[in-house]
Amino acid sequence: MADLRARLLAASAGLLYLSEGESPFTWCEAPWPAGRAVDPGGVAGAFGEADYARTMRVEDFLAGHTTASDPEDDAAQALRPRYDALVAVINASLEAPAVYLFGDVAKRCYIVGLAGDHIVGLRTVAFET
Amino acid sequence: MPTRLRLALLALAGLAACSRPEPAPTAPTADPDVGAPSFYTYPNALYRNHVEFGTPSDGSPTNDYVVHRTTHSFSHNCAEGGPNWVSWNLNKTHYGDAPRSSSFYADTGLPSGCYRVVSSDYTNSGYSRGHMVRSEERTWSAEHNKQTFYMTNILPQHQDMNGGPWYKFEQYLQDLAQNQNKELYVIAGGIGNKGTLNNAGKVVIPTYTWKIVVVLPYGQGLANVTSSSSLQVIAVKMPNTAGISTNGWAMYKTTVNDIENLTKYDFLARLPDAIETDWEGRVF
Repeated sequence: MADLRARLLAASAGLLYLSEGESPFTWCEAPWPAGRAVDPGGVAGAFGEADYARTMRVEDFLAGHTTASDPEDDAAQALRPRYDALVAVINASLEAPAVYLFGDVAKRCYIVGLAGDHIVGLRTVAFET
Repeated sequence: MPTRLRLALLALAGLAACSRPEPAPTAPTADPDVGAPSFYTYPNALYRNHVEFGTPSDGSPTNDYVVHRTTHSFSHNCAEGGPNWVSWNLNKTHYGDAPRSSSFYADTGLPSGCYRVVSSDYTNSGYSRGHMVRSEERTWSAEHNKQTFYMTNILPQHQDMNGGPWYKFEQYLQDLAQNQNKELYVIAGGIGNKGTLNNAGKVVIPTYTWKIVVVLPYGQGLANVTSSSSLQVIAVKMPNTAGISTNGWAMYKTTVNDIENLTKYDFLARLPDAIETDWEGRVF
């Protein structure tokens, strides 16, 4: 688990999730019942969340930084390889990774998947009005 | 004041926009994932004249680069890196299930020599990328939604305002359009100068952002305005500051005259003079 945490934090170090605002990525983990598939209700229970909004693929959630990033934005393009690498690390490190969003304006976003008997990954915030 | 030619062209544009038949709604679009309230998705998004009540004018073309898009019209200020005003029609047909754009985009429609603001100009500035035309108001198609993510539709807003009273007013307008069957004509923009984002000299941070909304029954426009009782006009002016996230929108009501005095723009100039004078001095 420590290796996995170090890998994800290293891949996301210094990066921000840009929406109407911006927010860093932080580590999150919680116990997960053996044999249970990941679902929004389970994620909400694991992290004490409510007000489920939606589920997204990791690639879609980070598309604004990767495939759909603005070609006119030089700073964004300079960072794109790091976000591409972050997507690859998440998909290679977690079982059934997906992004679960909770809340209204400041949505808490859990980029998580299974790792043994835990659900783990990165947390950030998306500002959407 | 618009020229006679401009009036004629606007009238023709309005007639063309209003002549399309109203489509029948499709079945409600269920969202099994969320279980949220569902709304009708119309076969077409009916955009009427985005400057139905007149193209806002400050009497000088300097720093007014006016653009008319499918989803809205705006005047861009190249010196300030943001819109002087954005003007748009809003009704129930504009809402749908299109996904929110993944990113913000520089507006490549601006002329050469005009700095094209990019999303990264806002990063680490402490200010949000504040929509004038709200993303949710253009969800009939992904392409229409993307037009709200061009940086020419964005002003720096403190998140406490953007996610607070500004957002609550956006929700109020959504309720008017979707649930109360109203036709809205909205204008929004910024007032003042609190410096520039990251002190980079590219994007001016407004002291206030404002909105003027003409409310009519669905399907109506200027031609239906025969007296002051034909319409309602709501104007708000919200401070671009921290600490207001829990405030309601109604405490920021003001008059159109107040916004005109501060921006130097003339709004709603196509209203008959007596009606314009009446409503521009009222607080809704």
